[in-house]
Amino acid sequence: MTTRPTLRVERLTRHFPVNLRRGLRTSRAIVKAVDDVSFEIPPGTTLALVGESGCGKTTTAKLILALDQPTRGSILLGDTDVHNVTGEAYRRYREQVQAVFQDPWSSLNPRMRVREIVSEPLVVNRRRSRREIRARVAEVLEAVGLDADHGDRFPHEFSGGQRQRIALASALASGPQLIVLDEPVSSLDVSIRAQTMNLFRDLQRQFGVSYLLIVHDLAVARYMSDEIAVMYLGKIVERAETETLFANPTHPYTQALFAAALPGHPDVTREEIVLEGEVPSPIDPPAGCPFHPRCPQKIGEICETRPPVLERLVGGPHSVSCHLVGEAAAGPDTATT
Amino acid sequence: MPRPANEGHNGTAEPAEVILDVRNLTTHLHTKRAVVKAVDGVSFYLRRGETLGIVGESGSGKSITALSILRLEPRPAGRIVAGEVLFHGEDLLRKSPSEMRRIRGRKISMILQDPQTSLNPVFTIGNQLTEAFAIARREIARADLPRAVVDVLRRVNIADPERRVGAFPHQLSGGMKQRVVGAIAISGEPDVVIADEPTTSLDLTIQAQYLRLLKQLQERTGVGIIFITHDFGIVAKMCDRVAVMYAGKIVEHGPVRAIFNHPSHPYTQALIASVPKIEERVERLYAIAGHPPKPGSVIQGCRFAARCTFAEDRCRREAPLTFAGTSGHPEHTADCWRLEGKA
Repeated sequence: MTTRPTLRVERLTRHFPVNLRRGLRTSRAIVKAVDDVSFEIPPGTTLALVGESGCGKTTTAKLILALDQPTRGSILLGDTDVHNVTGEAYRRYREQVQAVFQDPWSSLNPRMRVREIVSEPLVVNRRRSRREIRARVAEVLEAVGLDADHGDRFPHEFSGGQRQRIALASALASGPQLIVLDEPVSSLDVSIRAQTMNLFRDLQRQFGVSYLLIVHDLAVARYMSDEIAVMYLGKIVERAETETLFANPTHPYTQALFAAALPGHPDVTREEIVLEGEVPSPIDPPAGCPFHPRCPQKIGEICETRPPVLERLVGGPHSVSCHLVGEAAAGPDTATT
Repeated sequence: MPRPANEGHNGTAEPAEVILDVRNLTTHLHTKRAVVKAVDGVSFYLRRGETLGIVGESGSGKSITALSILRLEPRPAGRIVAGEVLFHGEDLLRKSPSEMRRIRGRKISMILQDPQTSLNPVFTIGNQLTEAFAIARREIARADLPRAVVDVLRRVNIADPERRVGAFPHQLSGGMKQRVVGAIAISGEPDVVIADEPTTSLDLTIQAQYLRLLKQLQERTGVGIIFITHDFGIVAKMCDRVAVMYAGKIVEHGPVRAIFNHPSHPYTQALIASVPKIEERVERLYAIAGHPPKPGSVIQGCRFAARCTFAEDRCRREAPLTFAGTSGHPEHTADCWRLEGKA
């Protein structure tokens, strides 16, 4: 097998024009849902995008799934720029990038049998014989811990955890390079989550697939990912290898997020970082650093006027977008230049 | 379960008075196919000023337990068939509907998971709070209501409350809406607030704000809180005591540290081991095999036996008794045959 390609996201930007109504007047404005975001996902690894609602994680995922067109920037899988290809190359990209969504009750068509759901990516994308398809369906169903004869049943006959396995089997069927996992365990019961997360990790090892994990639960991110990117208002504010980030969260927003996370034991006490207010509207994001109105460590005017850039810290694959670390940085993050 | 002891946990402070004492509560749901024993003989108590967590997965009966306390079990399917809910010594299950109406919202109030559905979309929040005050606090003169509304909004940390009273629910963010629901819940100065997954729909930093707010309100008013949740993180942060529910029964109960340090029931042990932690990288999470029993299925013996790694023949035959003091703490109890003779 040839080496698997890396997914490269370069300066990805998605702006949505919106109409604002004030009384009878309508004005145009722009929502910067994703703003100049860059990252890479090497084969067989997991990148977690963490952040609160409205930070742009889902828009990023949609762009990668080719469900939406970026305003600027590019998404490359190997040499293929997904938004610049058509025909066969586009179909092949769609085959190589699959997704598992949060809610297995709405993501599986209730009128289709499991076999049809799982084989759909194969039927749509490439000519294969019926026998090949049947064999592949049996193979992936087995890989996710279901029986081959479960293929004849309908989704309603399965529990939430089993449904998420069906969704994963379907995502795996076409032999993808990358699977977008959008909050894949948050709708599952606590006792089912661990087995599902373990399954995701085992299959990654088995098939060499990479994951883009969209998640709000930092504990899940720590368990599942090799690298974490923290997003706030459409921008990546900090990016690092998972253990580096947990050892040394540096951006004030990341620190606040970590402080807000629920403890694993009643004796764990964390420094309380009180964030005032809520995430501002992405329609009219604050000038300068988008986090400055809520930042407990604001250093002054520079935060209000000059947007910080994502800079690489000395001594590790760890980048932060904050004026506080401007001087300590080793230079701009290479992925963004 | 042993009744609350009279000496304090650590011998220094007298435990506060028990305000709510639920005994053997049993609620059945009558469906077309079967009678589901949603709450099957559940007992617990709540002291003034403390927080009790009721943890369980979906279908464990934790929400039906909460609703049954207020006699709000889903009708017509739900029926409380046995038990007592002693509130200041009086059994709520014997109260008339009009007596119950005077208790709900005033003595015991509730915060539900989704603030979007708890608030009426066609009235302003000022309107809805005024209504809550008019019902729960008749002693407040009509002319003073607007001030009371603004005051309570300020108490739940809503900025600029004078302006916000004119806002409709859709104009507020999820976190703000949930704080308005909190304001309604405390408007009657209740003794007990039942919070059913109140932060599940909130973002992480907003959840932290809200949990802090609940703690502040508790410190100020001494309200007892029953926290219904599936999240052990919330239990660790908020609760003094925990009751773990599985398939309609409390399988383990105890002070929060006893539960975390010495979980005695295999289900609790497995649950705690299966949750990823933010404080450390776990090499591999323990995964509980199988799934919870289907509602309405008849189970002989222990409900967890089918998924339990320690299950023996006896577990599948006989339902386990409740054993106390297994971790050395008299209030720590668990329903598991393995504890027999150890306490």
